Amino acid sequence: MHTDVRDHLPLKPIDLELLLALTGEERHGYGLVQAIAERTGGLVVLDPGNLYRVIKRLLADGLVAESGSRRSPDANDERRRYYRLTPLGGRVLAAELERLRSLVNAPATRDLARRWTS
Amino acid sequence: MSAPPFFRLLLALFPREFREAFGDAMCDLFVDQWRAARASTNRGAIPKLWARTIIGMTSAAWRERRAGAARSLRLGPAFQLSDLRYAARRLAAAPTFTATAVATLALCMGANLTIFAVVDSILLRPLPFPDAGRLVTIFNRYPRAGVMDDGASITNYYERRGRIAAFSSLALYRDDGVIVGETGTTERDFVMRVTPDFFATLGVTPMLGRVFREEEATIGADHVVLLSEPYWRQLFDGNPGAVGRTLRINGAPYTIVGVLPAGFSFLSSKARLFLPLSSRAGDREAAWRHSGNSSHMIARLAPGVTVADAQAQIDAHNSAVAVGDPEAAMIAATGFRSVVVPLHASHVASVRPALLLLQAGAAVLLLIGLANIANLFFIRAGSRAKELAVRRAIGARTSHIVSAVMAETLLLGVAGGAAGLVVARAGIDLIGTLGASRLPLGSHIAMDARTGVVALGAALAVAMGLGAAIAWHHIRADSGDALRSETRGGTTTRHAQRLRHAFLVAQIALSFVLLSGSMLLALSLRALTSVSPGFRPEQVLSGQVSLPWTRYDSELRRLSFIDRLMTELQHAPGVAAAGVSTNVPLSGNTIKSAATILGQPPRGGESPRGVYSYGIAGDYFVTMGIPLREGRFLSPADVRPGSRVCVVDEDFVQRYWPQGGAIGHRLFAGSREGDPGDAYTIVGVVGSVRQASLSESDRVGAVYYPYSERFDSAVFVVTRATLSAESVQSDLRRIVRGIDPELPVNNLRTMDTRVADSLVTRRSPALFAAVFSTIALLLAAIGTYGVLSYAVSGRRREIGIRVALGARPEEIRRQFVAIAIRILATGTAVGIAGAWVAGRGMRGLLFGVPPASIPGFAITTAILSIVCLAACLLPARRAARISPIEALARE
Repeated sequence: MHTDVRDHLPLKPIDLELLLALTGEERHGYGLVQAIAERTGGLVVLDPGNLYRVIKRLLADGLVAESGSRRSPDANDERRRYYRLTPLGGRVLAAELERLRSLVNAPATRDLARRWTS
Repeated sequence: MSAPPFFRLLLALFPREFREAFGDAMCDLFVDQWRAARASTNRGAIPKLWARTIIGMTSAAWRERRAGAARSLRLGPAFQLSDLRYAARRLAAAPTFTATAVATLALCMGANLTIFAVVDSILLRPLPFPDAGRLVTIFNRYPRAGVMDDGASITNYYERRGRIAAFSSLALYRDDGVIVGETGTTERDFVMRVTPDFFATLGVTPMLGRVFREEEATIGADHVVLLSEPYWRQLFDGNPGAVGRTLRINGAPYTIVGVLPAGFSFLSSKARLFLPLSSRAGDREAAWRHSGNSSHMIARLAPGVTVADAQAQIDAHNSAVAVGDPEAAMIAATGFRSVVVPLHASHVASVRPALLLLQAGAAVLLLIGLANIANLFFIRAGSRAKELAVRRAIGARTSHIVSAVMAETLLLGVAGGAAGLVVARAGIDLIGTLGASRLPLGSHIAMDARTGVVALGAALAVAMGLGAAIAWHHIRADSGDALRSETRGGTTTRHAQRLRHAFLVAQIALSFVLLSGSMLLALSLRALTSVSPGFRPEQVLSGQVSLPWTRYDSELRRLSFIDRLMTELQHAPGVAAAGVSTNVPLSGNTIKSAATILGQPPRGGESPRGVYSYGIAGDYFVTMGIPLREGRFLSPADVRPGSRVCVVDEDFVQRYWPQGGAIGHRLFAGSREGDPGDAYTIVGVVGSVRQASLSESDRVGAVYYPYSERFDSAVFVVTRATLSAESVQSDLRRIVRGIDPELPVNNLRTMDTRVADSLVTRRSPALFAAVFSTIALLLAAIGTYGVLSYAVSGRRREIGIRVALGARPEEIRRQFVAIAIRILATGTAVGIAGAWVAGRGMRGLLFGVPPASIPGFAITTAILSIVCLAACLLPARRAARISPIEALARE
């Protein structure tokens, strides 16, 4: 496992979405799918296979961790397994967001955005 | 709640470690998504979820496995891309085998998917309303009077509304026809008259405007109309300003109050306009409680209430309102009950048995196809046995062999499934041309994502089933045997041969079942088409004219219209005779009403009986070709107010006067005796007519009254042409328009067409069964040919030696024909047992044929024998021609 934040950058877009969905609160599978679908405006709706492939990778990299299983009100009060962001995951996410910010703020990017969006 | 089995199948695609780590969580997630999709109002949510899940899961599993393989360099039981590539190459190298297998699968899966699309559209998919499972229909049944569904009355509606806790909402509806448009450009349109709570009961809100208000259900305040979305687009070009405008209906202005949402349709109704089902206070009184017949009741069950609860409450309510009813004893004698049935089930009940039978037939066809393909594989496996044995000898694991075989069956299954979808597309078109749109919900028949998902699931299941059987065969086969065996081909072991023969026997037995089933349907259809309908349908044209109340409000006006129409029609060129009737046989209208004989009222506890009642004018009997048995026909002079004569048919006479002598007796229209002055004297007896269908068993009889005594605003005009029935079609339209330019003629069909159409629910299954049987026969021929050819090629050496020792060609030929006969005889014996069981299951669909028909079995045996023996002759002849030198030299 690489503890150096830079070894994890840049994040894949889907990893970024998943880590973002875990900031602030712990979520279970369906909660993650919903949060990601909401943020992307329905562009990314994950099926179970692809969601857990991503989770498997992030678990292996130590960016997320399981936080046990408990009853969930939005799953008919059945037991669901929850995930949370690890401190390393938080640092990686922050670093990635910083990287994206500098990318967005770079003069060349701004210039491009101005030319193509108006 | 646990995940559906199909999802678990998808899960099996992932590597075991992955499944162990995340399988449960993935199932939970799918269950959550599934619940959300089900709760969604978007109808496409579930198919979309399935499509996304299938594509996502397969691709994720694929990537996961590839990643795993790359990491560990271990070539485990994982399904390898190389397996698929190798399988594709091998299939391509055997084009005849591959083409036969794919074509077989395409036909069998296509047949299944076609029928599945129909079964799904009609039986499985819920009605397109929110929470449609809670919708029920309630109808009055008088079993001992022979009336099984008499709808529900206006009184029933007003008495029950809000008083029965089991229903959260209750509504009444009635089909009707009206004349829409301005003078000269009028058209007759289907409408539905509904009570204000009809749409709320269904859970439908209008797209524009509002639904009907309570006060609009009263005659006089009911000139309001709701449009269907297509009608609104056609007439107002989608202009929202249409609401508030007026539309001329039956010559009077109606205010448009709303437009229904796109795609709204109620069951199979073709209504494009909706009007209030209005009544006067007097129509809602207890005296009319049992005068339902043309209106129907629907209701929505309150949450948590079952149909049984609702039934109990309706029964209690009926008993409560019957207290003090002077007719209570008579009604009780009929065995009266208001039956609560789920709306969807009751609407499709008539076609359910035939559809399920067809689906079973298609499933049998698929089994036959699979047996056939399995046998082709076993035969080919012979030539692969050595290759696989060598692979095992040098260390290939069982899992390698399984995945090698599975790769082939998977490719075949997917190709067959895809081709099957194309076949199903054609099959659905065929069903369309056979008149499927006339089945209940028939216009909803379509292939959709669900059909695709089922096709994919079936293809995977077929591939796995076939693959498992074949892999098992390979693994069990002793590899030492295969290696030692000298023939280039491979196994002629007893075990392998027995397996091949067993599959062929199964195939022949299943074909026998299918063939004899379709024979029974064909014999039933033949028996039915030879039934005389009781009238002579050829050259008779029938069409419907409705006289709007607004302009034909008096008896005099109606009678003078009919009079003029008859006179002009009878003088029209090419018209031999013309008549008018309130109904014609096989029209689909099967409403019956009671008739009571003067001096023979129903005794205490005896039920009155419903009979078909016609109001006729003109030369109705002559036109229809209904023969006179006794007395006289009704004459034009009988059609006048106060005319107290009638004609009855032989079925009616049979019930009351089995010894004859009906003429001169008098009867009342209704279920009790009235003032003798109101009785109708029977002046004639005519031949009996098949009223509802050619196969009807309960022949209740008919009473024909003069039209003046039993009028209806919608009448059928019938004409007998001197040439073809179609030749008078335009004359009929012209003459009607000539008398009243606002009256269109609708539902114009020859009586021949009506007779043919009445058989549509029988003809289509018979035709499909025949198609299935033909495919089954073809497969039986391929199967026999394949197995016999293989037996011959496996025994070349033996044959060579025998010929060298002096055996004659006939003896060799006989040896192989004997094998075929043995297999055929076993298959037929098993098949007869199966056909007997199947025949009993089909009893309800048969007419004039016993479920176990000896001639049917004989014909089936003959056809199957001819096909199988013909298929075995070619290999047998080839065997007889083997030259000993060649046969021995080749090895």
